Amino acid sequence: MLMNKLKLDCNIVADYLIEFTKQEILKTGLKNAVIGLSGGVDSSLVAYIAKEALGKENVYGIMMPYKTSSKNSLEDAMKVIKDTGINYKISEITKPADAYIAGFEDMSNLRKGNVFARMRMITLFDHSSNYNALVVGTSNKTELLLGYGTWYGDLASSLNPIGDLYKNQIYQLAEYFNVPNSITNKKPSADLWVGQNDEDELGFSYNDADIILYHLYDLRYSIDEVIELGFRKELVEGISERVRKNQFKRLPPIIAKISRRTINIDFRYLRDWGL
Amino acid sequence: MRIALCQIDTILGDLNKNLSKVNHYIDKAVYEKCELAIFPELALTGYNLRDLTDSVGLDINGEKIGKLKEKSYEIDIVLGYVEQKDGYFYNSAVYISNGEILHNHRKKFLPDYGMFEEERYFTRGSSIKAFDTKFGKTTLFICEDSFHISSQNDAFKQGTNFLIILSASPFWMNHESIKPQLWKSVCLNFSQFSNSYAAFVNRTGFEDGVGFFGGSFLMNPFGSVIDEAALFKEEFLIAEFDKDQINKAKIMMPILKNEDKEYANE
Repeated sequence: MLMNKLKLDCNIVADYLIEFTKQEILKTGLKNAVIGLSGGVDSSLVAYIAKEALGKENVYGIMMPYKTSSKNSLEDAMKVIKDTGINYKISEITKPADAYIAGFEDMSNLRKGNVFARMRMITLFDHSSNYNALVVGTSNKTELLLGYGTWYGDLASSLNPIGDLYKNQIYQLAEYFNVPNSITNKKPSADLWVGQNDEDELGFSYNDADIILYHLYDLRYSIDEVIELGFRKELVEGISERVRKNQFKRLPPIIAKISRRTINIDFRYLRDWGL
Repeated sequence: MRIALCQIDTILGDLNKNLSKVNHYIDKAVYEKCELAIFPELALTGYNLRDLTDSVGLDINGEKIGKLKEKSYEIDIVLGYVEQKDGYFYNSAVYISNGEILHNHRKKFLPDYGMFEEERYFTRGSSIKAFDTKFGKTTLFICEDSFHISSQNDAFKQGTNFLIILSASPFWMNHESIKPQLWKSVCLNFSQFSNSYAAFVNRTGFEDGVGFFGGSFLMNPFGSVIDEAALFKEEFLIAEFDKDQINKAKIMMPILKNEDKEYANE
């Protein structure tokens, strides 16, 4: 029942996101997009949107497996490539990531995961330069709010068509675009280490998180009001605390103000200045 | 009478490029034998100007508006721009006809909630005034003006039978509503109870992810949408304005007639 509030009019939202992707890229003078394709539902959806926006010949899906990455991930990403007809490239991150990791003993999974995410960021931005393209981001609203991503890693992009859509809404649109079933049916995973699973790692389901976040932030419910909807106090408080702690990941670095006009404080212009 | 609803995208802060697009559509409207070309809110500048505001302000008696006046011998023109007056800036709209400015409206209600920052950069207008055009009693609203019942009341009391709404309305939706629908309901009430045509001209394009949804339309005095432009895409839409419909609507539902005398149209 509560989940019904997240129901999208997929026709209109799809049109809107296609126009967003097309216009916000074309107005910069470029016409190509680079997307990191993981085989997951988020990046797959973005590939379908970008194909409609720019045409398959102008979209590059880059797959960046590490040696421990799941084979299914690559296979699923290839299904998206075949189905959309976009350009693709496989650029393994094993060598550069291992070369860096070798400099440390006992690097934690978290640190390694961040290294992988940032190695992929380097790869994507380098390819975007090579192809005269912009990197199209694939972080959804649930991850952005929870801070479930790597700052300047997978969170880095030039534009993001799906950053205002909760995970459940991503699935609705994925169905609308006929994203292959093997992608929409599997459990979401960052695939940063073997057997990783988003919902196990987070400690709650995406459905619960979506409903809690939607009520807390979109509808401005208080924590108590969300608990009254039938959620555990610790869960609602924990999610709200995650959102607060991760605010930095949603912003550029803060700057020490000295002058009368400080960048982003009182020097205020949009990216689309003159575009 | 043919009206051109020019649902354009703009380039943020680039007066010259926006002016040349506006001129292009005015010429097209003249060629299509339209009697009026309507452009959106801030059509010459783009919407979210922030610190660009002071660099795109125009003097209403200056050269750029002057050139539009010259064009207005061929066709009436309505458009939104940043007006500069004595060091202050207004989110304004002009109605230009036969080389003259028939009316300059300064947006009275500047939104400052949610994503909006207009009150920070612009100075408020002070009134809503109906004026005479070849279409009858005409009133200009700029976007947020329409959401205030007081503006609608002002327009109603002055006998408006052609309401023109210039807009830069951003798209959003949730489980309760979807933005384009909101504009239909605003105009539906006004049209039916004021026996008035309503032209809603909204821009398109994106500014840092904020998408202006377009969906411009002309509604007749019975509340029917006569013609409607697409969502999210630039479009040049011609719709027919039939003065006879206003009197027909008045016969069926003469709401203003029964207001107190001080309100009723002379």
